[in-house]
Amino acid sequence: MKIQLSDYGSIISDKQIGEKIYHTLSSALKKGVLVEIDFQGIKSMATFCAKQIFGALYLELTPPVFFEKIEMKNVSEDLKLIIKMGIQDAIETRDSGNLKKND
Amino acid sequence: MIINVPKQFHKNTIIEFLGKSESVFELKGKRAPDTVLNCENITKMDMLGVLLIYKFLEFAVTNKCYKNPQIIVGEESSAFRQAIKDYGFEELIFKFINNKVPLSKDYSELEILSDDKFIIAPHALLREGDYSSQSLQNIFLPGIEKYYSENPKTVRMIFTFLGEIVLNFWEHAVDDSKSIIVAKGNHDLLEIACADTGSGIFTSLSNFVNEKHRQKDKILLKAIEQGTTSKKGTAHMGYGLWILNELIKLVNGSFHIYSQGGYYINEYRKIRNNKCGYWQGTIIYLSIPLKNPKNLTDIPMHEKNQQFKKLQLNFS
Repeated sequence: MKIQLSDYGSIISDKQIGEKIYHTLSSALKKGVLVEIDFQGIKSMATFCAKQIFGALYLELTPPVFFEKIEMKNVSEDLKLIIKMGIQDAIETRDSGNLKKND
Repeated sequence: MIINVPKQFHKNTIIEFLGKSESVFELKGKRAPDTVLNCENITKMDMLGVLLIYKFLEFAVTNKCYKNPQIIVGEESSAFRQAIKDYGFEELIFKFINNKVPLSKDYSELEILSDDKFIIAPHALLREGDYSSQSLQNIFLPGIEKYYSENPKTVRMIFTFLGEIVLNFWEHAVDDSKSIIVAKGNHDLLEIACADTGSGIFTSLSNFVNEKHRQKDKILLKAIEQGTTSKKGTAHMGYGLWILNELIKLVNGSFHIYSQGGYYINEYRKIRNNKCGYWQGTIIYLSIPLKNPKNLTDIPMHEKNQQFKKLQLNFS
């Protein structure tokens, strides 16, 4: 399954849009399909959304499954960093025992 | 009581204005008589000054702070009248002067886009419907992208600033208190200002910081640290203000925060932090030089980079 992230706008900085993207990806992954996310046209993403989408999926899927099932294409160095920050923060939140579901 | 707006009302006189105007936040529903907001003596007013006059009027009118208040706006050609026209606030401000509350549709969108400069007229960050999200995505951002199309790194930097500002105001406005964002720019400099009359940083963070930082000024130093958030355990990371501050340091610009009686100013890497007149909510102002744009990857993050190496990610 291929997802063109720019269909949601050139800047992902809205909690509602983040939720939509998360649910789209999550539904596809639950069906066991490989997901290809194309970041072409994405200029920026708020760190909040990176954690909301990729941090949540990384924890849910586990790192090896995330690596195997999600391929990210055309990701700028800045966006790579934002995604890493979101995932790392999700891991730290989980490890600190503070994780709240559905927020 | 007469509130005299500073003659030159811009980023350097905000503290003076906050000292003069703070009483409005104690007058909710009190209909205090004989109040005059004097804008007649203004000789110069920038985008931030106009935004604060507007937010002051909005708070005073919607909360019935004064009984039959007066505002002296001066002649048609006065600096005040000219500035509110230039920055797209004229109609909104006159609605309040006439004791009417503007509706969502009254907020302007991208109004002026010319060859030498652009001005983003007041844009409300409302959560009702898709108004703000759609107009940001469809009008605001493409306008900026087009203007700076010759330099993609500049576009990415600006969008990083805007993304973090918009999300912060959007998510921290507890009662949809009409956060207003304005911006103006040319090819050398971009200025962005955003203000709300919501709960403010002290209210949000005071239960989450240690005693040392639980002061109206010191809490802002904590707010700009990486990882400071009132919403631990959620997708909030507490990176927003930290990113803004770090990028501003790299480009040698200005970053001002005013909130609930404290201020933090990073002006060309010189930090000032102290108490000031009370503003209910938060005001943020950024002045971003664009000659040497920087992005997130330019921010030193040595410790984090070591952690990032362990992540299993498939970038192709």
